[in-house]
Amino acid sequence: MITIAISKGRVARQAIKSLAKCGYEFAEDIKTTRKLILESNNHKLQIILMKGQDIPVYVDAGVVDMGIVGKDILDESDCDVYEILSLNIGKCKLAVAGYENFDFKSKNFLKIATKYPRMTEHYFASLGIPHEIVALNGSVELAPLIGLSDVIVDIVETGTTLRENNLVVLENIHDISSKVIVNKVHFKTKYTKIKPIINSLEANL
Amino acid sequence: MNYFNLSTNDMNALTELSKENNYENIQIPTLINFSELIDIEYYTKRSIVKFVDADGIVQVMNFDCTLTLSQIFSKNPMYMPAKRKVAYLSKTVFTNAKRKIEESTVWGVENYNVNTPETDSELVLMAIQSLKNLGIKGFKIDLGSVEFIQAMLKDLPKTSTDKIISLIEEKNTFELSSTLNNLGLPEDQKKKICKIPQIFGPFRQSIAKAKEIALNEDALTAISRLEKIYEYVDAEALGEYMMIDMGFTNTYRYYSGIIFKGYVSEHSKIILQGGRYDKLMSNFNSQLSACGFAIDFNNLKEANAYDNYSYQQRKSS
Repeated sequence: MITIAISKGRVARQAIKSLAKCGYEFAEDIKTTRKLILESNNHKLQIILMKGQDIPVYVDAGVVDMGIVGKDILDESDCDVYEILSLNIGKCKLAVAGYENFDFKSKNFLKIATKYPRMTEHYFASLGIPHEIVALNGSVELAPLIGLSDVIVDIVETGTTLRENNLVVLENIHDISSKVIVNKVHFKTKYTKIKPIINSLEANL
Repeated sequence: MNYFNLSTNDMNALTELSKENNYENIQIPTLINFSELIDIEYYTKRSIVKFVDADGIVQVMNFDCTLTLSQIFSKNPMYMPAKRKVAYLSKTVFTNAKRKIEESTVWGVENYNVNTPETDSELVLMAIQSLKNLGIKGFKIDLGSVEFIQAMLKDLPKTSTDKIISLIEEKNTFELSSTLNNLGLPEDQKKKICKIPQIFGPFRQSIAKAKEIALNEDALTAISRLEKIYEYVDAEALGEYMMIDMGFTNTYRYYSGIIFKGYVSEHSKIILQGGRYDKLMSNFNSQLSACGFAIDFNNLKEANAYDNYSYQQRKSS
């Protein structure tokens, strides 16, 4: 049996729908169930629901064979896995945001608040702007509003939260979508079982 | 603390193998002078555990036996045994990804003789036999070639090869294809490079596929080296242990010819790793060729394969 780690919510619902089209049906209704481990009716696949940040850790350790995880989380983690497939779900952008017309590239020193310190460091180091990164855990939009930072780096989907807090996207860093990751050794040793699952995700997502 | 004790039986099994193949058992120093390593770009410097002595000289713990031995034998040729083959059991100390100091037990061999298909073949064969001697069940040796990748990417702009190599290593075909699109390569060349990460699995089928995508003579030469190794191993009736992955790139960065990894099915750790590293030797201004492999007992222990074996062996003996 192959195990796949998926974060709860929209991504799990879409993944289950596309897996069902390829013969991996699940008895439980993902919207109502509280179970964390779901097994397909043909006993070939087990879905394990967990927090997105933990998925690369589990896949790298080989406790689960594969996972679906956002590129943002993957880049922020230190894990050594195969990145097999890019999916058409969970699409958004990693962006620098702040007050309108704030020219952050011309500043001598920037304070940046973010949930993604690694990618932020990478981006601002490549621009060569002296900076300090403040790592936060949520509601990053607050930081410029009450003076913790000049700008923020965050994931932007629709931009509604930014707008309602008088902030705008100043620059897109890069696009983000969900990726299928696979443990490096299991990809080889369980290839015949993993390949059909990858194919079904590729065809339907 | 990471306690590991190699049982006498297992140590004997490995010593016997190295003796049969004329490898001399040696010991590896714990401390190395860092100044001599400083220009070598083959490791991440932050993974090294360093000490500063009273005179301000930086000493580092042995973190990679291959690197340590390369340094010793290129600076001090008089230490080299006559047959130019060494085997060792050693500890390595390094900082892991979680920024903690970690200790690992390795057994390995290095061969400093001329680069021929025979030396490569003997090495791969020894890798298989060492795991067999330890009683590991269900393992595979996965073979690739850094020369093949280099030949395939020969015509690409140097600035983009690093990125392409890392995408091949991650088997990230979608991003690989979009990166190649941006380079404006001929369709045929692009398609063939895109296929590299997908060529892996059973030996014969995969070799045939590799030949189909070979872009030049050098790539074909690299493939025929792999074929020769397989013939040699198969002649000893050990071909079933071999797999191939043309998408293996140079993760340890010092490999320059064949590269191989060993793992046990159902477990996710790489238990053995090796290859040819002539370029590393030339970095130490040495004319020697070199190849070698090492078994990582910490990963083997984690894969549980080792404990099971020792237990059963103890029961039966």
